[in-house]
Amino acid sequence: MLEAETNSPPHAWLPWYNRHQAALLLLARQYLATTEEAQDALQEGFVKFWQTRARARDMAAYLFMCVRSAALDLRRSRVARQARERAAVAPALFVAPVELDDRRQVLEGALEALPEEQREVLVLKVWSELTFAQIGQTLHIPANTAASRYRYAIARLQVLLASEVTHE
Amino acid sequence: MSERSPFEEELRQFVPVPASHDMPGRIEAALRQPRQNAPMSRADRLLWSVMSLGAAAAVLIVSLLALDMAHTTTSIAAPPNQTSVLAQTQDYMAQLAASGDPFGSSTRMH
Repeated sequence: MLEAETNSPPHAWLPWYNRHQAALLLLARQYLATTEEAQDALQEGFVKFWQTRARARDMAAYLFMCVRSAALDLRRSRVARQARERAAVAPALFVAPVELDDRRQVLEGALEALPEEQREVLVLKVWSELTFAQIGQTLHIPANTAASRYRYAIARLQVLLASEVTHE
Repeated sequence: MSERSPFEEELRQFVPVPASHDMPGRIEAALRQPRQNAPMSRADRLLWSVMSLGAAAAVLIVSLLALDMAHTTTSIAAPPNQTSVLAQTQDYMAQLAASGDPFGSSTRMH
C-alpha cells in the first residue's frame, strides 16, 4: 500500500490535507503563538510527511508527528519573536456559533492553562480523532501514558471550565 | 473504541479554525521544489558505500607505501654512531701525509 502511494499521482496528497488541515493547524498552534507561524509549520511538516511517507508505520500518526516536529523546530528558532507576540491578543483557535462565542473564549483560556503535555494529547484525541496508540506514536510515548495524560487533561479542563462558569 | 462522554461531545462542538485558502498552493509549490536532505535511494546508498570503501582502501595503500619508503630510507642511511667511508678515507690520507709516505707503500688501508 505504501509503495503504491509513494508512486501516487501529483495531487494525491490533497485528501490527506483536506481531511486533517484544521486539526493539524490546531496542533501547531499549541506550540506557536500566531496563525502565520502555525501555517508555516503546517506547510513544512506536511511536505516532509508527503515526501517521506514511505517510512511511516501509521500514516495519520506520522502526519501529526511531522507537523508537531516542524512546529517545535520553529518555536525553538523564534523564541524571542514569539515572546513579543504573546503580548498581543492571540487569534482564535476555534470557530463557534455566536451563541457559543463566550464559551469558546472560556474553552481557549482553559486550554492554555493546561500543561503542554496534556494539551497536545487532548487536541490529538478530541479534534484529530487519533487513537491512543496513534497518539503514542505521534508523541513518542507509550499508549498508556497518552491515555492517562488524556484523563488528567479532561478532568482538569472540566474543573477549569466549571470555575470559569462560576466566576461569570 | 470507547464512547465519548457528554463533555467530550461538548468539546467537539468547537471546530478548529481552518488553515488559509492559499495553503494548498503553498504546499503544491513546496512539493514541486527539489527535495533537500532527501533520503538516498538503495542504489545511491550502495554507490556511496562502494566509493567510501574505495577511498578508504586508497588511503590505506598510500599510507602503507609511505611507510615502506620511510623504512627503506632509514635502512640505507648510516647509523649516526658509525663513521662514514668518506671520513675514514680522509683520515687515512691525513695519516699518509703526516707519515711522509704519500704512496702508502708501508701501510695498508684497513
